This record gives sequence, C-alpha cells and structure tokens, in this order.
Amino acid sequence: MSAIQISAVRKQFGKQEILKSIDLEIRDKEFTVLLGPSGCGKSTLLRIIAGLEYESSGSIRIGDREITSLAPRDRRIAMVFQNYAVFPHMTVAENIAFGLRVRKDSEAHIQRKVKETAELMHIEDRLDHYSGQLSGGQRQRVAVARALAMEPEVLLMDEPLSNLDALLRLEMRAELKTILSASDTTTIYVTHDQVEAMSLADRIAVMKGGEIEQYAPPSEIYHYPATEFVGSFIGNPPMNFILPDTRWTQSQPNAPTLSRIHKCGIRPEDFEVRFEPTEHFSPVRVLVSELLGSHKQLTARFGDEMIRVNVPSDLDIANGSDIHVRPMTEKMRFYDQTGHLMSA
Amino acid sequence: MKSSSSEAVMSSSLPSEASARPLEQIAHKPRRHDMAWKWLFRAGVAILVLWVLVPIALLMLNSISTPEQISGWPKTLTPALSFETLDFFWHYQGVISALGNSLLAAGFTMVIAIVLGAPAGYALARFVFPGMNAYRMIIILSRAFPMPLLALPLAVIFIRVGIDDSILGLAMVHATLALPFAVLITSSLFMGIPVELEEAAWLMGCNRWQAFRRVVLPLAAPGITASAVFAFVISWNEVFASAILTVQNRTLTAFLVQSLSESPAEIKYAGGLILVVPALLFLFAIRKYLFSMWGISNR
Repeated sequence: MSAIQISAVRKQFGKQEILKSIDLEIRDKEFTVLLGPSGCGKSTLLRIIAGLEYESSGSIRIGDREITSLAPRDRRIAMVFQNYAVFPHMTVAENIAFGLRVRKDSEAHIQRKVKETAELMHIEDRLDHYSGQLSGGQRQRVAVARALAMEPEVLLMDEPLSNLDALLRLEMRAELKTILSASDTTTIYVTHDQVEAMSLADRIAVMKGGEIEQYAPPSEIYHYPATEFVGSFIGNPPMNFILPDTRWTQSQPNAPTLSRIHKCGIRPEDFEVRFEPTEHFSPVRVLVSELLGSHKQLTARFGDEMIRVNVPSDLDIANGSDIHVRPMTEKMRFYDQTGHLMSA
Repeated sequence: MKSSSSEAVMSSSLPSEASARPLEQIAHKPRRHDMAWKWLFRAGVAILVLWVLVPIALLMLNSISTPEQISGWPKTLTPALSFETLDFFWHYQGVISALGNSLLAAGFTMVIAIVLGAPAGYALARFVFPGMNAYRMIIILSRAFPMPLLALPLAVIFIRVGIDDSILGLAMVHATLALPFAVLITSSLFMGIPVELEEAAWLMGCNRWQAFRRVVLPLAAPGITASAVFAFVISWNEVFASAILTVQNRTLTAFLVQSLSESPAEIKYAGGLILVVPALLFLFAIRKYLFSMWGISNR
C-alpha cells in the first residue's frame, strides 16, 4: 500500500509563503500530475515529498508510514530530475545498479534488474556507454530505468520531458504512459505543460500561488473548471469568460439564478453557430478567422468583450462578417463573484 | 607647409578611395582581418612559448656544460655534456637533506591545504549561510598580507610555541599561502557538479557522506589533484618564509639562497635545474587533470 497523504503542508521562505497549507490525497497506484505556472510551488511540494526540502509545518504519510521527518534515503521514493542527473562517471549499467548496490542487494538480483529495466526502456544496447555518449532522450531513459529498478513505493518526476525537443517529447510521453501504468507505481509528476498533464494523469492538481485550485480527473478539470483560473490555464485557447447573457441562460436548464452569476465560462468548441438571426442566439462580429487544420478559430467581438469560437474548418466565414452564437446545452459553466464554479 | 599639404591630399583621397571600392572591401575585409588575427595569435603564442622555454633551455644547457663553456662565448647548442657541475652539486654538503625537507614541507602543505580547503570549498559551493560573501572576501584578503610582513612575527611566535625550525611549522605557513587557492579552486569545482547528482544519490539510499564519496569525489578528483599539486608547487617555490623560519632544517630554496649566493655560476645553474625539473615533471604528469579542471570549472 503506497497511498500518499499530504496534510496541511506549509512552506515559508522568510516572510514569503510558498505553500499555503496543502492537503492532497493520492491513491495507491494513482498517477497524479501537479500542474501550474512557474512559481506556483509545484516543484517545492515535490521536493518536500522527496525530503530534499523541509516543510515549515504539516505532515506526509506514505501508506501507514509517517515520512515527514525521514531523510530522503529512508523514504523509499525514487525521483527523475529535470536534468536527468545521470552520473557521468558511471556506465548506464552502473547507473541503473547504483541504488541497488547501495542497498546491498544480491549481485544476481542486480544483474537481473539492470537487464530487465534496460530492456523496458529500450537501452539494453547502451549499457556500457557513459552519459556523455548518450543523447538527451537516452539519458532520460536511463534516469527512468534507474528509478524503476529501485522498485520504489512512490515515483516522483520533476518536469522530466521539458528538456527534450517537441517530437521526442511526444514519443516519450506516450511511452512513459504505457510503462508507468504497467509498473503500478504511485507517481507524482510535475509539469507546466497542460497537454502533458491531460494526457498522462489519472488526476491533476492545478496549483496557483501555493494553493491547489482543483484536484480532479483531466476530463472534469477540462469540462468543469473549479475556478476561472483553472478554466483559463487549461485549454488552448482558454475558456471564454463573459458576462451572463439572458438570451443564453434561459435556454440552459442547469443555470442558477441570474443575479448570482458573475461570469459564464464557455469552451471555444462549445458554441452553436448560425448565419441568420435565431432565437436565444447572440450576434457577434468576427474579427479574425484562422484555419488551424482540424478546425477554424474565430476571434469575435461580443458586446464589449472578446470571445474565441471554434468552428468546423470547412465553414466559410469572412473577417468582419456577423454571425450568431449560443453555447451548447449543458456546456455553459457559471462562476460567482469569487471566481468559483457554482453548483447547478 | 609641405607636410600639411600632403596630409590634405591624403585625407581627401581616402574617402574617395573608400567610396570607390566598397564592394571589394566588403568581400575582402573579413578574410584579410582573419589572416591578420591568425598571425597575431601565432606571434603571441610564439612569444609566450619562448618566454617560458628559453630560460629553462639555458638553465639546462648551462648545467650540463663545463664551467669554461658557461663563461665563454659564443654559446653552443651542443655542450660538452659534462655532468661535473651536477655531480659536484649533488655531493655538496646539505643538498640532499634540503631536498628532503622541501619535499616534506610541500607534502605537508598539500595535505593541510586539501584537508582544510576542500571542505571549505564544498561549503561555499553548496550552502547559503550568513556572512558567506564576507567569508569569501576574507579568504582572498588573506593573500593581501606580504610574506615579509608576516615572517618575522611568525618566527617569534614559532619560537615561543616551540615549533621554530620545524618542517611542520613551515608547512603551516605555506598552507596559509596555498589555502585560498585550494578553497577557491575546489569551490568552483564543486559548483560545476550539479547538486541534483547528489540529491539523486540521497534518494537512492546514500547518506551525505556516501553520496559525496561515490558521486562527488570521483567527479572532483582530477580538480582536487590539480589544486593539491598547485599547493605543492607553492610550497616548493616559496623562499622568504623558508629562509627565515628554518635554520638547520633548510628547504632547498632557502638552502640555495643561503649557500649559493657566493658560489660560482655553474653551481647556481645546477641548483636552479634541481629546483625547476621536479616542478616541471609534476605539472607534466598531471597536465591531463589540469585541463579537465578547467573543463569542469568552465562548464
């Protein structure tokens, strides 16, 4: 059992509060992504879990073990660093075996483990190489193999793909997903890349300013952003946040009382579009129409606000033309004065 | 009058010339420029190499020449190959023991400088602590006191404590000269080793010391060796403190200064050679590590 329980973890650096009482529960074998802009405290939280930094207060448990005050080596955690941290003076095989040798495992077990993880990460023909002879992607593979060889209770990954070029990143992402879901290791993964988070996570914890804004599965994060920040941070282009329009709210069965609604949130792809004036539809003027391959992205003026609307790529819409839009039923979200999602 | 008119002609002709062939200039200028730099660079390297090698060559030639050849003219590049002077020097009273003292003092200096300097360098590289910059400053400032100023008071203190005329006492003085370099070189060395390597080792079951020994030390070893040799050479070459703080147990430098000031020229050359050759050989042996040291600290 290696569920992780983070309770009221705070981190202060001088007067600056980097983490404001973080509570997070990660289930056994779950893949959790900490997602947020730089400076939101996600890496600090990860390093506190690893024991590389100390929390100002709070506690962390793995399974039924309290690890808050343990040294990193006693936590049974493995970590993959952003710069890989492959030991340059050891071969790939020695790197993978390092932790097992420190642990004084039997040599037979070490050899088997090295072979096994190297094959898993497709670096079995690189075992005698030094990290200087490897490409960035191969170093990344060594770092992951080294972590998995330890058979840790918890695997931590700190932006492991951010140093790879775009194509390699896609490839590694898919491979990591397969390998990690097969390994059944509880994983915490830090990234600022929302696509990476959406693709890998069982649950995403979106962080901002040292707090967790929302902790939920990717689809819920995407379709029901808990705050305006989450809606605008996730999705490209971000969710539209506009003043409520009575023509729309009447057609939405889940709409709360109009007076309490501060903003409406609608994803760009969740609009219905008409060329003729229609009941419950609002007129907007298209300012820019961009063909993005699979769809066309319109930037349009709606009253005093700007909205983004995605339409099928074969729809013929000229810049400056007027169209009529309405959010699809059930796709509109409502936010209160404080920017939080209102329950229907 | 004449010169001013010619200047006027020149200055008037220059812009027209420049405007007449701008294209040609653009095409040729970089190449000519490169060539000029290349030759300047080669000349600079040649001067530097000669600057170092010529005195050493003279030293070597003279120390294996006969006394007549040394004082004679013209000089020859093929001396009579006489080991007379070297042989005489070697059997000169006190040379062997002075050589031994020098080696001992340099060895002690090396050990003290690394044992004290490397941990300080590690602390400066890895930790942030109050007074860190002041500490760094003080280390550099300790080199600001001239040895002549320190040597006499030190001699007095050494006599009082009872470590006067001892190699260990001298090594302690030499270590104060070598320590700032040891601290600064090793700190830049440790800074060049990513802290994540250590953190990765901690997470894989190492305590601080194990992580240092298994990960940091192997990576820093070439640089540490280089700074140890540097400390050795500082002690080996130091003459002022050695001359004042030792009386019976002279180091080679102090011995040469004392005994050879009145000796004939050939003996001086032989003494010089004995001093230079070990330092050269030592540096030659560790040149690979010296290069890798710069490689690491430049990363």
